[in-house]
Amino acid sequence: MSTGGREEAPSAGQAATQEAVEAVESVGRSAIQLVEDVGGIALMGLQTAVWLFRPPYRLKNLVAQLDYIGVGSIFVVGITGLFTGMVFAVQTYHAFSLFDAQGLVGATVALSLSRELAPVFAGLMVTARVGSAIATELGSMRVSEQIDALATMAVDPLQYLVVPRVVACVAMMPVLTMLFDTVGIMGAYLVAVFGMGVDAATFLGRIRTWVDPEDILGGLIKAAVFGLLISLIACYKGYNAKGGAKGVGTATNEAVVMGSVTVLVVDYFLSLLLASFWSTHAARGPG
Amino acid sequence: MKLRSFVTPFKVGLFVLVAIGAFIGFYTFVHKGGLSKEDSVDCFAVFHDASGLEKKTQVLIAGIAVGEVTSITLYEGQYARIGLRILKTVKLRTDGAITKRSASILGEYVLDLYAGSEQAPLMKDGGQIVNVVDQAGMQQIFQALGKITDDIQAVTKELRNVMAGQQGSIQQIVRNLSAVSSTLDRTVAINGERLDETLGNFQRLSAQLASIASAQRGNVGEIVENVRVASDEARQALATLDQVLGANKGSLAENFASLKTTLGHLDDSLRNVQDITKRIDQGEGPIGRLVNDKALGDKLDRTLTGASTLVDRIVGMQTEVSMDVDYMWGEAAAKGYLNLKLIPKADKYYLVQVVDDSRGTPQFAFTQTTPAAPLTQEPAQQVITTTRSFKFSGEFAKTIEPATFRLGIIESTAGGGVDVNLLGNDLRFTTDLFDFNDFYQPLPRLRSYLTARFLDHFEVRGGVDDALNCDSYSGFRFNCAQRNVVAAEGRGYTLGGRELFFGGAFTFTDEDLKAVLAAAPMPK
Repeated sequence: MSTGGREEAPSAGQAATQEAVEAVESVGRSAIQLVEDVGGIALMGLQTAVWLFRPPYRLKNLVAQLDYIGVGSIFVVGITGLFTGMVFAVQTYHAFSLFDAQGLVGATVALSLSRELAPVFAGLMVTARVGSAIATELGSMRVSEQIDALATMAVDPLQYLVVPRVVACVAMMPVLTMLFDTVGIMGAYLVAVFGMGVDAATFLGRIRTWVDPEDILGGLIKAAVFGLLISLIACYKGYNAKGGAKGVGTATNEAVVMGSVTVLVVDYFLSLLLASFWSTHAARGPG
Repeated sequence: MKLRSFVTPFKVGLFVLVAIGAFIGFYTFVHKGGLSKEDSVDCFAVFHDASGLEKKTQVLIAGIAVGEVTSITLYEGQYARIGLRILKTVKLRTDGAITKRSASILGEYVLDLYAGSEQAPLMKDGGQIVNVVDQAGMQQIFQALGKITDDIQAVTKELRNVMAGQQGSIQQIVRNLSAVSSTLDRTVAINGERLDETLGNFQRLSAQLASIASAQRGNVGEIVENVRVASDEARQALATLDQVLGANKGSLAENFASLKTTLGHLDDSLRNVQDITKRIDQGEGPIGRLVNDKALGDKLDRTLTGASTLVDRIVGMQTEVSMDVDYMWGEAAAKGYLNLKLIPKADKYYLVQVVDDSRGTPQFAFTQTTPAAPLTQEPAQQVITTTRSFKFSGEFAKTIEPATFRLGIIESTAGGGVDVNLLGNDLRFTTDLFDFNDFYQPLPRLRSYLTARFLDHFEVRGGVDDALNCDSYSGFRFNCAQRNVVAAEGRGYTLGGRELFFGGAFTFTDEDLKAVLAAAPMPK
């Protein structure tokens, strides 16, 4: 039955129901999007792995990305590492002075940096600097149809654009983490030895006593994993950007946020995994 | 373009090389340098507690790393099997020993190894270090430290008690030793005096015996004198005899007779002397008993000692006579005291006092109605009789500087008092408390006054009498004062109550009395 061509305004109850439904739909869409993203990133990772070993090997692109990701991040990672080590030395010095154990400052800073802080902070810095750049660059290429043009020219965009970035990021993250470790411990040394009066031999001796090579290796492994994830996320978001300039911005934003969160979340699970791995190799346990 | 294509890989390569160098340096720096299988012997030890031990925990001899922990596994379900790798250069023996030691209170542990004696065989690969000295965990250490701290506290507490406590302390011991030494000194002094007294008694006894002997010697002297007289008479007789023989031969016989009589007298005298000395020697008579009876001698000694002590006390006792007169402000009457103070020792005296108190001695009587009123009712009539009579005081006083405490009878009632001597006895604050059973006054009589002494013999004083009870005079009369004054014979008699007084006193001592008595005219 016709109402005479006029639509009735929804009641308050209907409006509330509509909002609730939309909220649930939003959650559902986010979950679906997350699954889609994870799946897409995984597929991109697999394709990257495949294209990594297929010629032509575009070393020039790789070197350029190594330069941009690694050498270009030296300053920001170095500054971050220096002040992280210095701040950590100040705080641990005051904490350990309560127990008259200031000699443990070096060991504590070195352990923290090598196991956790260096890979995580370096990962965050690379996410902020490199991940955003990759997403923006690839997003711009996508919305300007440059990627489509590559495909038209029988150049696989994944091999040309993604593989060098992923490889460079995986390779440079451990290097930057090593830089972070070194500069951070140097900063802690400066503060503790010259600023707080901790004995230099004690500082270094405690590092040698308490820090094991496994700690350094674990940090570097984490950094490589972080590099892989950061680059894949950034490439995925940029590669699949749509909607013009706004879409590029959204892709960049999502790449940084997702990359940062992923670094922190994955760090936890990697820590558990590595601890279990080292414990197993330390042959400690029942039996 | 070519330069640019060269620079970029160079930068990357340089950066990577630097990072690899840093990694190698860091890795090498923290690498503990595990022991090679060829240079080491693998063995194990079983610990009850492996907490704090980790893989690669150092094994030390004299603080030098000689091995490391290679594994930590559970052993027989309840122990820790610690795998060890020890350098062969150490020459670990089968009787070696190992122990876990805390390197710091933060939980860092190391293993201390004793390689063993040279007589024991070398440890083989896979062997066990049987001698394991399990160290207590930190918790046990802290518990032990807690117990030790408690013990130390207990010891210090005991020490404090010993040093400063009241019972069994060093202070107490020192005080006891001081008291013992003081007692010893006093005993020696007292015994010394007694010894001196005893020697004095002996001296007096010997003097008396000498006196007795000298008295006896008088008899002997008399005898000797008799002998001398007899010899003179004999000489005269011989002269007479010579004359007789020469001129008067006729009376010779008579002269011989006279000589014979004289010699008989002499013989009697000598016999008497012999008899007396024999009786003395046999203890006959008072002198003989005195000389020969030891008990009598001791008795005499005691008697003389007692008499001497008594005489010493009497001679040593000082006497002080004083007369006090106070003007009682409220009564407008005088009150007099005559005091005799006997002072046997410097720290005590006896006071005998006669008091002329203007208040008199009130006596109370009740006239009961007939028939008798119930006990709860007031008596029908109350009669107060005030008798003007002397009151007497007799007090014993003991001085404990700077105070003198007195106890006894004060103004015919029981009481006591205290004198506080100030300014070298020139100022004295006195408080007396007596008359506890006065029916009329609700509170005992408290008298406090201050006495100032000048010119050795004179005193002025002032204070308050009966301070605890109500005022008795109009100037400071309170509501309750009216009942304290009764009228009789045209004047008011104060039965009691607070009033001020002032007065003076003069005092005579022994020396003064001797001088006065010596100068006083004596009746002939």
